[in-house]
Amino acid sequence: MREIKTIIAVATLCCIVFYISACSPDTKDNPIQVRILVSLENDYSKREAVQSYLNNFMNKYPSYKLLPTYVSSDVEGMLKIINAKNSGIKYDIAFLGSDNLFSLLEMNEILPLENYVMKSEGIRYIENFEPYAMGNAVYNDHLWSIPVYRKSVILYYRKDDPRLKISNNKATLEQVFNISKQYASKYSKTALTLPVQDILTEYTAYTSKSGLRDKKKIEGTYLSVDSIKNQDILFMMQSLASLKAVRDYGDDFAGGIQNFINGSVPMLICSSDKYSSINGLLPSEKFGIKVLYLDEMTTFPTSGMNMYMLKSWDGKDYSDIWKVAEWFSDDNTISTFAVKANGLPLKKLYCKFLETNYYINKNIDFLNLSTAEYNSYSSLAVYQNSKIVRQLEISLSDIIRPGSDIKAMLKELQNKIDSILEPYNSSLSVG
Amino acid sequence: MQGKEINRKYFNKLFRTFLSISVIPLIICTAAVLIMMNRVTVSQYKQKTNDILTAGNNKLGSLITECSHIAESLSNNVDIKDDLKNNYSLGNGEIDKNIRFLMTGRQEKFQITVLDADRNEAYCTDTLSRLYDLSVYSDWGIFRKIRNDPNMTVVYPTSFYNNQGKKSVMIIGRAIIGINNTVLGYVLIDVYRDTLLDIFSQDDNQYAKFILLGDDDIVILDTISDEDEGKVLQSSDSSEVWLDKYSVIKRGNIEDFVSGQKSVIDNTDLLSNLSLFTFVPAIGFQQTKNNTTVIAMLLIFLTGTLCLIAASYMTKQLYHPVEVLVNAMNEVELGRLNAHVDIDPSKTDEVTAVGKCFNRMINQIQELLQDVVEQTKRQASAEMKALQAQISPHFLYNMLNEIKALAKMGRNQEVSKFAVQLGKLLRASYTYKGAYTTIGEDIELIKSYLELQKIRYEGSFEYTVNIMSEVLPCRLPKLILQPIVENSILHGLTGGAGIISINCCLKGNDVRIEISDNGAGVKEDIVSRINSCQSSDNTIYNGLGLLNVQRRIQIEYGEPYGIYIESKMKSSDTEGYSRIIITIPFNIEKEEV
Repeated sequence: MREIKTIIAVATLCCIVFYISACSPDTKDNPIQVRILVSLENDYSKREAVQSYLNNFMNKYPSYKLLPTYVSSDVEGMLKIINAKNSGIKYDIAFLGSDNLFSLLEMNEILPLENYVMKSEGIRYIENFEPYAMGNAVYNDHLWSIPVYRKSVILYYRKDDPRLKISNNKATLEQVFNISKQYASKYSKTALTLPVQDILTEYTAYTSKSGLRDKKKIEGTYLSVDSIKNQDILFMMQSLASLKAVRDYGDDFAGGIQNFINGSVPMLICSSDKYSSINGLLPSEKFGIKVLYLDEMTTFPTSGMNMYMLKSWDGKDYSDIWKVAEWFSDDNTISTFAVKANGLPLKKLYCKFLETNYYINKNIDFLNLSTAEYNSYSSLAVYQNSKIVRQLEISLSDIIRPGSDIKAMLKELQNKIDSILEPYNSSLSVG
Repeated sequence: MQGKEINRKYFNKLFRTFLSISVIPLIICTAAVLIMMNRVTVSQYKQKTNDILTAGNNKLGSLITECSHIAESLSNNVDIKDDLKNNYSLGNGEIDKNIRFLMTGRQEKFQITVLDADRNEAYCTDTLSRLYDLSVYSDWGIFRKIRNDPNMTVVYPTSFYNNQGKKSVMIIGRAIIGINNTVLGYVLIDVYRDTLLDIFSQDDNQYAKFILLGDDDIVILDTISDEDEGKVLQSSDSSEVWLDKYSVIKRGNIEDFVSGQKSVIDNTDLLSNLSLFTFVPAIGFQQTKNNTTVIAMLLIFLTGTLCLIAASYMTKQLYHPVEVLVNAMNEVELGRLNAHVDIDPSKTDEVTAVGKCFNRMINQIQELLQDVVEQTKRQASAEMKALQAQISPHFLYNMLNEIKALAKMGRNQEVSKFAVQLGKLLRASYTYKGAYTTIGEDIELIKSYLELQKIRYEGSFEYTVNIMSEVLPCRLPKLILQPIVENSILHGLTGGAGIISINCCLKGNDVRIEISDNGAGVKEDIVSRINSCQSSDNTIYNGLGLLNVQRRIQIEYGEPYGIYIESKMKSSDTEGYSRIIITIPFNIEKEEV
């Protein structure tokens, strides 16, 4: 009798074990799917870098299946996110431009990450980031994204053009304009090619004081563009344009590079991450690079790619998604990714790593580029409000036309900005 | 085998009972002692932990108060406010002078930073943390906390290394407030980890560990390992319980640590959300606990063994008489009726009484069985004798010769009568079945017998039969009367005119049968032996079967019943007689068929 009971008990136990094992999810058959949206920003070399990281992750964690979607630009990426619910394709992680932070916040699409970071990495992880990299990552007491790659606007110049005299001093925009003016007047030749509107927009926005950083700030919100400094630089630009000392390549980046490569224009202002493209066509000994400053104190702002965790509407466990995000936010991953994407160093602690793994193989000038004290003013003031951005672009495109009344236009622009910001300030005072 | 199983069960029950009543109290007592000792030890360790915690807490409170006073004095410093208001360079103005004075002798404890809120400019006595870039972090971390309460000194976690490799773990900060409550800047004091370690290092207990938690459970200091400093405290995956601080703090796991918690807030001007935990590894505690447990286990083992032996001994002692009884019963069950229990006559306990009863019972059974055997033997013997007497060839031959002689003499009537009586006797002899008959039937048989004997002995005796009709159906063992009558004929009559009389009457509840003759009489010693139911060497009287009849009646009905002889020997002067009185109980139950 006792033996029968024992047999029944063992049989029952076996059935339970079998049932549990049969009912437990088979991770091989049902892997955790995480969709990742990657904006390549017209740089298709990034795709290879991102894909290798995805593969490494999946090799290490076979229970995960990462499904990347590559888009050519941030705009396309944002459209994908907006259209996600309609298309039924939910993205969990997005690699998009850092300046999309506020749009994503407005759309209520992203999750704050500080709880995850503070548990797995701690304060030191955040402290290790260069502040300029965190400009579009921290906002209103929350960490909204992890910077994975940064770039800045720099000056490329031809070393093999004996007529061009570039000093060892800091290269400010004003100095570059003066050099261009002298070069053009002396040799009757265009000295500089640049995306005029972008540069002037950034100059106008970032050299002025901005209270747009925090809506709750006691000082209120403001953006001062009607300054003597701005008038001077715009006058200078107007003058250079009339002299044909500068050439605006606008969105035609390839045309701008081509002019620089073939030597028709000895100076080029464009993004630091185009170094590899230029170096691929022109030997490094034939050209140099310099950090471009807006003024003596302020560099051009940095921009680049951030990693965002998107809110879930399909009930997916955020901890699963964070596991993938954590993999990409790992110090080593970020550093190596920055190397592959010609990015600026995001963390000081990893400068040595970058020096040994990156700069020794590139132009020594890049080391100077990486050690520049980039200002941490983010593009927040501009990108927080798309109306202001639009107004700046419209006004500045008019200003550089020959004969434009720069003073009046700046005054009008200031009025328009003030009227845009007025509701924010009035709501503050009421509150 | 069955008997043995029963023995084992009862023995086991006894054994278990003794074992239980001896071991259970022992276990309960030991457990109670263990629990009490454990509580006392835990209490002692808790007190010790509390003392350590209080000492650490006081020192930390002093440090925070010191930093708080510095922060407050700098934030209220008029010169510093002027510098900030007028956008003077922070490093060259009054700030530098004031801070240098305050930092005298404190360089190894902390660093001071003054930030200009507007210009994002900073003055720092050592290394500026990247988290102090107000363009990025003005609404994050400590700045947010200060902004929420601009008039308070706040404490906040941090984690960064300065140029000398010193790690800062805690910020004590305060806003510098200008006119209209505008925030002009901030005073931030970064306390080095080493400073806190100095505070918490205690000579009296070098094993004590401390964890200081700040806002949102962020670890400010962890003297066990700095790995988690700056992180939100969480459960560790480590298999070492020592490292599982989360479980210790959240659940107060006393098994591996003696831990305590104390809030550091005791200043109304100080806004902090600090919790200090201390862990005193329970090495001594565990040692004491283990020793106590080992001793208790040894005690339990030893006393348990003693209990086992004692229980076994007592069980055997108690069980032995029962076992003897059971064995004796088993013997009896197997048919050995000579089995007896050895009894110690000095004992008067219940089991001895049961043993005595058993012995008595066995004796009685033996006696009863012997009586039954004897009765059966006697009955068979009597029947045999009666049959032999009645139908033996010799008897039959004599009877038939008598008939022949009578016939020759032409005494046909007597022949006829003889034949009829002989027939009756033979029929009665053949139909002897069972052990009982009635007085009426037996008297009829006796009459036939007497008639035959009377013919045979040619009327040398007469007989009379007087029977009360009430006693005729009375039950009577067979062959009681015939041997006595036969005895009277054979030995009682002496040649003269003999008279045999048979009288039967009811006397009370008994039946009295008297068979008397006027013969030679019986000797006195024989009479007394028969009356006292003692066997005799005299074969004549033994052979008469009187003693046999006496014993049968007494076995059947008990001591008061039986036969009684009154006799007087015949002499030359006097006539002799014999009177045999048979007394049996009046019983008219029918004999079973």
